[in-house]
This record gives sequence, structure tokens and C-alpha cells, in this order.
Amino acid sequence: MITAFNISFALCLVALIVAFVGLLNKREIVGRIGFGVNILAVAALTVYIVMRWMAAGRAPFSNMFESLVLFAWTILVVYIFVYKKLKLPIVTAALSLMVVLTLAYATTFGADIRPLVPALQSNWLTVHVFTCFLGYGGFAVSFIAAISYVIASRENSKAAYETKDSLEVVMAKTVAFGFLFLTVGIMTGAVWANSAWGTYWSWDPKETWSLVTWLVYAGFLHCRFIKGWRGQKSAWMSILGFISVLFTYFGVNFLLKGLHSYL
Amino acid sequence: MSGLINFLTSLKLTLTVLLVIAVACIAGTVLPQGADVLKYLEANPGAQSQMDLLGFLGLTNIFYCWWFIFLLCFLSLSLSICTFRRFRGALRRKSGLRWKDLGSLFSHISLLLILAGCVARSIWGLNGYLPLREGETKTKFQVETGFAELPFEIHLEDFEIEFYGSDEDEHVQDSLSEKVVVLNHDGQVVAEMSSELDAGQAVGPVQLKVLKRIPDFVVDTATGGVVSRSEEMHNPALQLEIVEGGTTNTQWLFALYPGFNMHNKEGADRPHLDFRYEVYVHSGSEPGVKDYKSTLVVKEDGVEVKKKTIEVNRPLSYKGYTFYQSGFNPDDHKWTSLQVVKDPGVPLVYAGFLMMIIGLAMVFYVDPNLSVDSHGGGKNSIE
Repeated sequence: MITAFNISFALCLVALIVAFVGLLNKREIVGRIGFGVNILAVAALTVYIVMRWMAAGRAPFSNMFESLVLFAWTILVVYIFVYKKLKLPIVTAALSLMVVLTLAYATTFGADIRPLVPALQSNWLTVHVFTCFLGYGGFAVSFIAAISYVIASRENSKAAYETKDSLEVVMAKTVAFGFLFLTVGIMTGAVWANSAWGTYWSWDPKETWSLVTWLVYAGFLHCRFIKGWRGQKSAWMSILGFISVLFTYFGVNFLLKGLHSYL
Repeated sequence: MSGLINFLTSLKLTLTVLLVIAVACIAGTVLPQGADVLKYLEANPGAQSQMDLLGFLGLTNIFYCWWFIFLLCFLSLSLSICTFRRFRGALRRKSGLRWKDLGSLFSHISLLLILAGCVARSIWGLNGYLPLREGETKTKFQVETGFAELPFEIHLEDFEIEFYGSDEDEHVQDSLSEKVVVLNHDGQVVAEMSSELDAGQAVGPVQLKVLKRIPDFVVDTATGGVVSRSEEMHNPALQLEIVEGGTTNTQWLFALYPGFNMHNKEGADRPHLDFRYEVYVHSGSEPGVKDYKSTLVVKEDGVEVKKKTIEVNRPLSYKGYTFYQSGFNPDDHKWTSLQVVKDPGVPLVYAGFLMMIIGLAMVFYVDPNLSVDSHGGGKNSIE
């Protein structure tokens, strides 16, 4: 089983190398090769997740190692869906780097399959974690698009202008996607908590920070679609939102205690 | 009047309120809240005056203090008026009502439903605790202010705890983690290596290799050889090959008896390193407990009307009261601990969840309006 993980990791590393080659050599074929390798990496990660699921007899979404693998998978899946709109070498390179760092970080945690405490033995775990991480994947891609937008804004060429247009679209679409799935994730978590503990909201630090993240992105969407915010203002809000995602995911685990201390 | 309404429903004010709520939420996760204040004061006795000040400002109980609840009420009011006005505007529009108008309406009304559910819980809800011993029947449960009466009787017929390892769960075996720890003669760890068969590692001039790994070590008295009595990890042992300066030794390491390491021959030179075989089972926060279940019987006037075996994630509901499996007494397995909740707001909250998801999907995907007009910089409103 660990072989499937190693193959996935190796493919992500190859994708990263190709992406960096793509930064120097902007021919389309390099981008296509990188995209192909990323598809293979997603396929290998999918095989690994399925194998782990079968071995454990439950969805492999219950500790840091498993969630980081899922996070890498969702980033790649969202990236593949927006690739047509965003064939930019810098975005591909940044996303590949993010995926490799996520998987490398995952290897610092134990990959052992452990039995679940009773509270986690629920099908809601699968839906809750999966939807939250689909949301995180969307926000991660939006974040990279936003960073790229800020960088592209320093140039005044026609190419930079067109690039910014693509980035703008992807930034908004991935935030909308992420927001929908984060909402589903928070709500399925609430339903699960109500079936396990009799309360759908207990101001647990992870819950509270997910609400903060939700509020930031709700602000992003309202500013964009009602106030008409565009460009750098939108990009900086997306960056702020992703900082909140990172704190919700990592910061709460390491700095604050609560019901989610296992993940 | 209309000026006031415009101000109350302005996006700028709403976003400012959202920002203040977000900052308050962050403060609530950073500052000690509720019972944690006492723990904080025990650890920091000099912080009494700061805690008093924070308490005065409501910052030690943020999520339940008056100004936070006021902010939520204000947000509800602003949302209600705003949603009404926008929908009225959409109805009057010449081009007619669009899917995204409905989606926007749904997603904003859903927030009001969720908040209404929370209000219903705080006004009419009950949350308490009920310890029960096998064979016992009760009609009251403990709440914060004393006892609350149940409109029926609740009886514990049976309580059982299941532990991991009591059956043949495959993932129980997978939950083991093991390693070989290499120490110097001062007891300091100098290296760790895998305990897998044929795993090898060099530690300075010493070359190590795992020759055998036995889950349930026993010496066969007939043959004098080492065999495994079973596949269970009852007496895990590992044979290590140690090659140092051209000399090869083997040594048996026992996970349960770290001081009893069998060398391959009497009087063999003690190696320059010590070794320990470590096996961990279920090192999670609640080791071993797989499930705990209470078989509850609901009775009215002594007659059984409902019976269900509840466990974590599978509660029993009857007449608006829900019984959750919340704990047990580790010293006496005849006792169960139940949480009793009466929450008339749940249907509202769940309806809100459903409306929110449908509404967002309609806004973003049924009638998407995400195209960009960045050159013009004009509004691309969902109004």
C-alpha cells in the first residue's frame, strides 16, 4: 500500500520538475506534459486512498496524515478542472509546489492505520471531512491565482492584462466552489455533532475558526458581486481567506485545544 | 426613516458587523472562556485583575454575552430587511425573476432560520445529564439549575463496552506500531530502526539486521527451537543480528521484557550498544474502547413503548427528548452516562441548512453569474 503513496509522491515531484521547466521554456508541450503527469498523480493518489479505505474498513480521513493526503488530492482535482482556464506556468509551478509540500509534510506523521474512537465511527465523518477538504482545495487554488494576480499586476504588458483576466475568473470560481463545499462541510459537521453529542454547535475552536473562514469568504463574495470589487482588492481578500483556512486546519490543531484534536 | 433603513441595510454596515463578529470569534478561541478561566488562574495566579477586566467586558464568555448576542440580532434584522428589499426589487424588474434571485433569497432566509433555531433552543431547550445503573428506572435528569422532569420513564436494561482486540478486526492488527531503539550504555537513544523482517541499519561501525520477528514467542520444548504460539502479539520478540569489527552476534529482544535480552551464546561479549524492541498498541487518546452501548426502554405508566440500543452517534428520541450515549464509569461497567437533550429548534436549523445549500448551488451553478468584466470594473451584481 505504501508503494502507491510513494508512486504518487514521485509523480508529484516529477510534475513539480516539469512545472519549473515550464517556467523557463514556455512551449505548450511542456505544459501538456506537466498536466498529464498531474493526472497520473491524482490517479495514483486515488488508488492509494481507495486501498487505504479498504484496508481500514473506513474512510481514511481521520488523522493528520490522512487529511493531508486528501488535501493534496483535492488541490490537484480542483486544479485539473480549472486547467483549461488557467494554463499559466507560474500557477502550475506554485500548485505543484504546494502539493509536494503537503505530501512531504504528511510523511512527518505516522501512516499507521489506527482504530477510531467511538465518536468518529460515523458515515458523517466521510461526508464532513471530504466536503470540507473539497472546499479547502478550491480555496488553495484561488489563493495561488490571487498571489499570481498580485505578481502579474506589477506588469503593464498586454499579456499580463490577459493573464489577469484568467486569474480573476479562476479566483472567483474557485472561491464560489470552495464556499459551497465549506458550507456543506460545516453543516454536515453540525448534523454529525448533533447525532453524537446532542448539540450542533459548541463554539469549539475548529468550529469557530471555520465560521471565521466562512465569514471572510462570504465577505469576498458580497464585495465582489454586490460592491463590484475587482482586481487586487479581491485578490488580497482571497489571500486573507486562505490564511484563515490554514489557521483553521493547522493553527487550531497545534495552538488551541478542542473536539477536533485528532485532526 | 428610510434613511435609517438604508443605513441599517447598507452593505458597508453589514460587512462591518460581520468583521466585528469574526474578530469576536477569534478572541473567543484565544482568550480563556467559561470554566477555562479558573484553570488559567490556577496556572497564572497573578492574572486575577486582567481576568476581572475581561470578565467585565464579557470577553471571558464571549459567545453568550449580551453584546455578541446583540450583534447576531442586529445582523438578523439587517439581513431580513435587506433580503426583503432585494427580493422586492427583483420582482419589480422588467426582465423578471431569475434563479439566482431565488437562490440568494434562499441562502439569506436560511441564515434567519438557523438563528431562529438557536433562539428556540435557548428559550425552550433543555440539556442535561442522566447517570443510570443497569436495571434502574428514572423520570428525572440533572440540568444546570437542578432536576428536570421527563414525561415518561427511562429504564436501562443493559450496558456493554466493546474493546478493540476482542474480535478479529483487521485494522486492530494494523493499529500496532513498533520499532527497534538503539541505545548507548548511558541509556541515551542513538538511533531507531524498523522492526520489519530483513530491515538493516548501520549505527556507527555496527551493522544491524532484523533476522526474525515472532508475534507470540515460545520455545518448543520438543525441538528446542523458537516458534510462535499464535498470530496474536502476546509475546512479541525480535532476533537482531549485530555485526561489529568482524564479529557477528545475534540477540533476541522481547517487547514485554526489555531487560531480558537472550544472546546467541553463553558469555558472549556484551555489544557496545543496547537494544530495545518497542511495540505500541492503540496509542490513541482513548485506547482500546471500540464502542459502548446502552439498551434503553421507554415506559409510560409502567408499559414499554419503545426500546433501542443506543451508542455514540446513534441516540434514542422520544416525545422531543433525545438520549445520547455520552460516557461510562471505567471502574464499574454497570453504569452508563447519558446526555439528555430537548431541542425544539433542530428542525428549523436543519431546514436552514438545506435551504442554504440549495440556495448557494442555485446562485453559483444553476444560473451562474461569475463572468468577469474587469476592464469596465462595473458591478456584476447578483441583485
